[in-house]
Amino acid sequence: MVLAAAIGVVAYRLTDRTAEDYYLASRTLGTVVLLFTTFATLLSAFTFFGGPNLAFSAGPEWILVMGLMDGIIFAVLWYILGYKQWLVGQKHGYVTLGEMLGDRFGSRWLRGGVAAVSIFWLFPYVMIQQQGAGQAIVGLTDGAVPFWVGAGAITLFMIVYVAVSGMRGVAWTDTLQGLVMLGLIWAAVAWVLSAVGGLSSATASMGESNPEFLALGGGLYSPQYVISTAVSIAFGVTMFPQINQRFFVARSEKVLKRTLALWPILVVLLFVPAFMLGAWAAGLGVTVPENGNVIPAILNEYTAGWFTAAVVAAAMAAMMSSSDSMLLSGASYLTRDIYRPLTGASATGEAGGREALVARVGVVVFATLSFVASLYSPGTLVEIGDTAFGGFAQLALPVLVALYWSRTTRWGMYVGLGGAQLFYMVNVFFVDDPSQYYLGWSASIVGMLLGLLLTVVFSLATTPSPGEDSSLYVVSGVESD
Amino acid sequence: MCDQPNDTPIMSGANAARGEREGRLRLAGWAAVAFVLVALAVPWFLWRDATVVAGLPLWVWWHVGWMALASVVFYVFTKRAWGIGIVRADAGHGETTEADDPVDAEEVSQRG
Repeated sequence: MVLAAAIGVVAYRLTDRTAEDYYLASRTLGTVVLLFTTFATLLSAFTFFGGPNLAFSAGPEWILVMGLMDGIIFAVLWYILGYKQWLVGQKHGYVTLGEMLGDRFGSRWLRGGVAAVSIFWLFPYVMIQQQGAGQAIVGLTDGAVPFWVGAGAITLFMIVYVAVSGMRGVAWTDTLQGLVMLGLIWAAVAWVLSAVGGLSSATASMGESNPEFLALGGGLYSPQYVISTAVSIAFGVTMFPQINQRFFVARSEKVLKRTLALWPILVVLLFVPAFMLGAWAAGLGVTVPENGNVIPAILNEYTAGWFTAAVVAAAMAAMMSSSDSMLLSGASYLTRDIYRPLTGASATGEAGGREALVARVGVVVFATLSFVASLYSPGTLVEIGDTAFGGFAQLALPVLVALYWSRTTRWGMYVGLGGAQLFYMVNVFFVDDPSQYYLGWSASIVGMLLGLLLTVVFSLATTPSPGEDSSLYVVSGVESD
Repeated sequence: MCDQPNDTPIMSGANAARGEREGRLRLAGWAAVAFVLVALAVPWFLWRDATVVAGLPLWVWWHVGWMALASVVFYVFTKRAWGIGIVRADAGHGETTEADDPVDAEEVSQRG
């Protein structure tokens, strides 16, 4: 964490303080950095603590769900959505999703609305980082240090770090932390396995205590659950502010290409050991303290105390930088897509200074509120994360339609995005276990399809309004023929 | 509106029509590849199977192998078909952005 702070300060010295640099590091991220910064963004409490917890309670099939979602579907979307967005962003200088849509459809409402919805769903996701940190400290100290201390400490770090360094700092710490995390998780697996007599014996005892864990599927893992969860999270991830902004920051196509090819490998390298550790813990009879996480618990049992502490510290550092990316992107949505259009301010001079202040105050308020919410939060890390991803996923299909189909109209977007959000929120907040009404499919999937349908139908039923410019997303370079 | 330099169209007339047809076929082919990659990342044919091989359930090994395969396929895609479906097929590969990334120019030669 000290090292992370040092990188932040160096990045601060290198930053020339324009908005584009603060948020996007001037679109100059190279392969390794882009790969890991995107990766590290996923490397959050959701993956690192939530995933193993779920594998511990329901079986290691979570490897497949996350592998399919992250390694394959997200990678395909990386090309279809990400590369297209990169091209469009390069051409017109967009930095946020709202900007890109607002410009194309000539609508400030669309721009502000997309930003507002994104910030709304960001809230639970930042909250689970704080929750995860609090739980990790509880697990590490066996309850001696209370939950709020861990959650509060990470909140403080987040605020200080993001206020100082901006995107370049975040990207470089992400890279470092991604590498450290990967190394540590493999060391953890090696250590635990050697302590319990090897791979086969760990799996065998898991099979004895939980025979269900060996067989693919069963219990929580129905085919509908696996597909719904993987699809919804993958689409959600692409609309996640800090991931979506990564689509604009690659230095060149080459960077995007290399990242795509390396992605599935990186995903397997992280998920298989992390989630297997959680699943093995079930067979080894590891007890997890209430409000704790399985990873610190199993490490406490089979490795040295200093090692457990190192893993938890590294995980917290990774979660901190994920949260920073989120807060930074949230801040850029807030200032560019809500504050600036509302006040008519520009990004330069005195107005620029005021805008930076708005961004920083926004970050402080947001992080503090989510910290408070994390103290009272209902549900597991995976449940809350899944809900947040589902909210973002509702944005993905209308955006995809808009990017590729020039017939899309402003009203198509209004109704498609609004309808899907409304449907999803009603299901999340007012319906108990919505999937029972949709043949086992999640409300998120149903909402996505509804959004797609509404966007297409209402686009066909309406004509483009004044101010729309369907030529903006054409990137062929041969329009003249 | 468009601040990228426009390239002169390379193909015209009948050639362009044939090029477009080929482009569509290639696009459909890659879409099918993507679909298969997605569909079999979870080994549905091993559903409820509990065979353990070398210390891990067989379905975990399948997944690991499949992800390695996916990585190779993605690599081949970036080398041979990058830009397909996004940058118009008859424009070759990624010509809008070559100015930013001269290294990629080599890939244009793979067209046709």
